[in-house]
Amino acid sequence: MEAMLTNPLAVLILAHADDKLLLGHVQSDWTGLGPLLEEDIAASAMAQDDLSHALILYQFLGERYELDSDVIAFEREPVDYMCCDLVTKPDEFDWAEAVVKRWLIAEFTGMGIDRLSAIEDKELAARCNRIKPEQALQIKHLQAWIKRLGTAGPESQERIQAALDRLSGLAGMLFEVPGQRLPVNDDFCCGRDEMFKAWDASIQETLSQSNLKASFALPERSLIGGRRGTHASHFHDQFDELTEVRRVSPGASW
Amino acid sequence: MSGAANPVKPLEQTGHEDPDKLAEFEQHIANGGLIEPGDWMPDAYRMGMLGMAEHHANSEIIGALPEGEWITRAPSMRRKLALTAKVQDEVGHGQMLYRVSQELGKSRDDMLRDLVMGKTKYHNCFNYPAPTWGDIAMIQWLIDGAAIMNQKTLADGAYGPYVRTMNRINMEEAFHFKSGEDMVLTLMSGTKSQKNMCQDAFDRWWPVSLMFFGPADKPDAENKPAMKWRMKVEKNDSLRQRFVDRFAPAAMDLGLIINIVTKNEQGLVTSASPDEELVLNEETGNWSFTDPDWDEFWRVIRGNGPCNAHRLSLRRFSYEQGAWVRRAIGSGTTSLPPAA
Amino acid sequence: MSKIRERQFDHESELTAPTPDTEHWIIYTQKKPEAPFKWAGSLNAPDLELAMQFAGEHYGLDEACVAFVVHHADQATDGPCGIEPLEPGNANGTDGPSWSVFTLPRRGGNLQQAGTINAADAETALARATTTFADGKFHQVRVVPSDQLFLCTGESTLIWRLHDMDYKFAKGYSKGVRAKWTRIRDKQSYEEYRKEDIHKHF
Repeated sequence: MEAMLTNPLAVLILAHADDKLLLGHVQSDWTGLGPLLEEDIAASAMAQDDLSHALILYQFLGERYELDSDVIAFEREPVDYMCCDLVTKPDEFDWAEAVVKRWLIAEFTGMGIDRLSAIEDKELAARCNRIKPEQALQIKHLQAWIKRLGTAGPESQERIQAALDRLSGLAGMLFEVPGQRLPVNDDFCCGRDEMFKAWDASIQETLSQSNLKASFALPERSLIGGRRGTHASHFHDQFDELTEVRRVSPGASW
Repeated sequence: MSGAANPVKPLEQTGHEDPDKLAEFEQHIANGGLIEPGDWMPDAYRMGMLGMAEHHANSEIIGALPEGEWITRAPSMRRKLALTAKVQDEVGHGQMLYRVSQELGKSRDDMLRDLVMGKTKYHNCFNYPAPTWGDIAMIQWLIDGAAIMNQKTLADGAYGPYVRTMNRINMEEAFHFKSGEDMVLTLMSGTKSQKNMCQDAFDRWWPVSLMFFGPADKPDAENKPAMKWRMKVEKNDSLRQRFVDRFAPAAMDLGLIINIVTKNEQGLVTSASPDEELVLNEETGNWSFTDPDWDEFWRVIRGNGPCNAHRLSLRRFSYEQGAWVRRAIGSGTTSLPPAA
Repeated sequence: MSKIRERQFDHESELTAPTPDTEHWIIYTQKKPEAPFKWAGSLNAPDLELAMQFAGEHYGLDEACVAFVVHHADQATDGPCGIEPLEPGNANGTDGPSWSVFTLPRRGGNLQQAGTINAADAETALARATTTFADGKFHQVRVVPSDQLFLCTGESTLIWRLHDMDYKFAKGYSKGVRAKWTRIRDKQSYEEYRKEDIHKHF
């Protein structure tokens, strides 16, 4: 475990995997409660994609570091989870907030997976290539929903805009340098500025077609949040739920 | 999940139907024929099928709630994925069965509204709590196992659109049941606290499973429209017996004790002692067993079960919380101000 | 329990205003290349874009699927459903636009794609489709204008997923379940018990 948590590449992978795990965790909770049955089903399929992507990445790390993928997923100390605070922010079953959040994260993850697959590691690239088309589908659907809801009349537009206003301040922390055990100036997380610019441009393009506005800022490198183990209280709530059953009988097979 | 426990309301032939057409219809069904939407059918049949499909659809989307509570707590990546997919399937079954009902003449919105306002019913078993992970294993093994038995008979019914849909649904029930069986086997091969969790959940769900098929049919059920028209093809007691014959020995082999229990208002077990009636009749191959508490069944079906109010309340929250999205995508309604 | 699901709601006495149903769409899926498209189900969506998305995310993931087609329910014209299989008629001709033909192999079965014919209107299309395709093996014909039938293939838009989906199918559990049972029960009683499974799906 220690070797994985101090390896810069593993840390970068964990940041994406943990985003996917906790995002899938929060989004799968909507199953059965969505705003219309057809979209309930579709959104649940995407939550399963997210959880599956987390699993693919945990399995990759598990093979490399001889760890069980469930142990990586469920049994680290909270400080060693590297998801950003945006993913665990409760949406209170507000569909506007859920869609905006999923979209902001999906666009980031799409770029992040591209970056991971460009690293010279054939095995990692193969895993990423299984994720990429599913991620692209997710981005396409979410962009379509943002455009649809942003242009569907004042009630809908106001709700989506309000969700954007609530989330835009947190969104920059998607780009936080991950891994509390690594130096914050570690340059392995290369291209942070460029990636933020590309992400912002893509987001702004969709916003401009959706009757919506938001501005985002790249936080200082030194700013510490969830990716460096300093999680918001909502992460700890989600983590308690995530691990509740496993804690009944630690080490058991489930 | 659940083909309903005898949801077919007593149907009265209204007498206004053309007797020749009715005779032809009944002969076609008696010959094993199926009914397709363009065929002539008695009004009572159409209303009966609508009531049955609507009840079934309601059961699917309410049935998504107790298990949905555990998606965030599932103890491994695979279980988390499986439970999400399972609950998603229930929503999908609900969607398909609402479509069958819509084609029989009632809008989905009306059905959802009637459901959350308590004007229509859903399967009684979802009014019981699922307080541990063991309950998730038991729901998928016992309740989905019972549902498969029931729905296999529903797929032998006479109404084409329902039969088609049931065949698709049963394909997915196979996954639900196997996944539940895998969970039960895993818990019963596990640690002491896992076994205890499993036994406690079994105590809660065994009596609910016995009630699943509904109370005994009236003696002349074969001659009443529901069976004569093949809306249902097997009597409740007969399905219940097959269920016990299959699951009682399996449970005992797993190391589970089949108890008679008493429950409190929250649906939690307050006392349990082994069912002394549980004996195999070697001649018939049938197991005898203690009947479940039918007073409790009627109390719960009338709305006074442990979770009736909570299930409907959460379902209503979902309906109201999502209304703006439906308004936004619905044609021509988006410019209206929000409902006051 | 997830916190929202635990909440005690304080609902108003009046339910929020109705939200009328959206349009009705019908979906047929294709399990493997060259196989016929078969009826999978139907759904509600306000427009084609969402109908296609919902179709893929539901019916496209229920069982193996390489492509699906969708049409608005109002675009279908169904002929009468015979108790006996239909006989070919004698309506011939090749004029008019293209119609896609679906046939019902048995009552209670699933419509499946048969081919296309040309006709000026739906009634003629039904008659010509019956002549062309009736082979004593199906009970009903449906025709849909070919330009109202919308195709999605896995090549243009991802349908079936690349990640391991074993977790959502019975076959993903069968082996493990059998192994666990046979540690507890003898083979004969396990096989007896298994009889009530839906065999073709395990």
